[in-house]
Amino acid sequence: LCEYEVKAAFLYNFIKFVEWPASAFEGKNSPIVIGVLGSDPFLDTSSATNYLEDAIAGKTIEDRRIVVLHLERASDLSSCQLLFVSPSEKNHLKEILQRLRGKHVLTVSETENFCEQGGIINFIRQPGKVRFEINPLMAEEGHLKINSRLLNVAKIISVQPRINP
Amino acid sequence: MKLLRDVPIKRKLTLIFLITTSTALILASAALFSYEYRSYRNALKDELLTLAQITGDNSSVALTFDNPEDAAEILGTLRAQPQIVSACIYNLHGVPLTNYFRLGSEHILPARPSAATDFVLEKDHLGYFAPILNKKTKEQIGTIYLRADLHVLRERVKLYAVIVSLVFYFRPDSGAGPDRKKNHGTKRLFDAGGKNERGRTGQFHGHFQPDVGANPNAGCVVTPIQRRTRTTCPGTHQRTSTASAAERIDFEFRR
Repeated sequence: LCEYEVKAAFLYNFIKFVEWPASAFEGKNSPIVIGVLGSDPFLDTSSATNYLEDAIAGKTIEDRRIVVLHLERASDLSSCQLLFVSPSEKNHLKEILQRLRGKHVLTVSETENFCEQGGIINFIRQPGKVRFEINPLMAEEGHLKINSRLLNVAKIISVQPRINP
Repeated sequence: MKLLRDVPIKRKLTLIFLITTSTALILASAALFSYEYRSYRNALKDELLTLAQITGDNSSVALTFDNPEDAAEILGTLRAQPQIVSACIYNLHGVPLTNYFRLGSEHILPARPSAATDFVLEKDHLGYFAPILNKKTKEQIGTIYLRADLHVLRERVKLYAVIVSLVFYFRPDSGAGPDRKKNHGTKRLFDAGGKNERGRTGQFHGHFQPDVGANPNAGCVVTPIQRRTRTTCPGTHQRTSTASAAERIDFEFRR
């Protein structure tokens, strides 16, 4: 498995171990939306396959379909339940995270200091493995319940960034 | 049955009681063993089922994110269950993620998990395969295997065997236990006359009367024989040899 194949599977698995409040969805059977902001790292141009779309194809969680949306910075980012912020948005990270504070959006990235800046989950590289860090304080702020066992396997970053005026 | 023809009725009755009580005791013991074995095995099955459910649920994240360290930590909690000798968590492809072995136990685990939820009864162990499901999606993410020791059951059966043996040995009609010495004493009294119980019976039927005739004190050497003789023959010993079968039975009963 290549790195982004594993990361795509991880995104799907995060949904299994995170609880969103009912108000995070439009309706009872509304789909779970995974937003990808910036250039899509899950797209393998050589084989023309999107690992994320493959990972969620035909899957449902608690009777909700899972859909992937490719978003731009100007879009309504709070319309998705999980937002993957591509490393291409590294320079706009603060602004994006500021907009999403207190919203029921699980933010995920693979950018250095993502959790310290107010993100919730960040992929980190370990030799031969894909691991991740979690900022439980930011998850709490967005009223997201993270399974305690998920916290057990992650590196915990408990930092609450100051709100910029 | 010819073998028992010359045995006194009291003896025969004792023998009947002995056979009856022994049979009852053996049947009751067999039923008890069987019940105990089944109930313990069922209790162990329930326990394995619960443990597999709890451990499987706890290890679902470790399994999902392929984290053997966390999975090993979870399996390590089985240390509190001394009957569990080994355990293993397999991923969806049947590859072991982590395993657990109780200290001093054999390092035996199935190379691949069973396809179905199943109990596997081995000689001294009971194994159990259970699927690990994700609570939200209800899809299988792996398999857990637990192997329990049946040593406790064996010990329990041994204990029951000892108890039943003791009951068998000390039962009232066995002539064993506290009354044994007394009986041996009685036997010694008879033996003092140079004859055992069977010998006396033989005397009664064939040789007793001529012996008494030759020596009137011969039967009086041993007190019980004397007493019996008096009861049976208040007047003369002549009648004894011609006693009817009914009289003989009556005599044996009184004896």
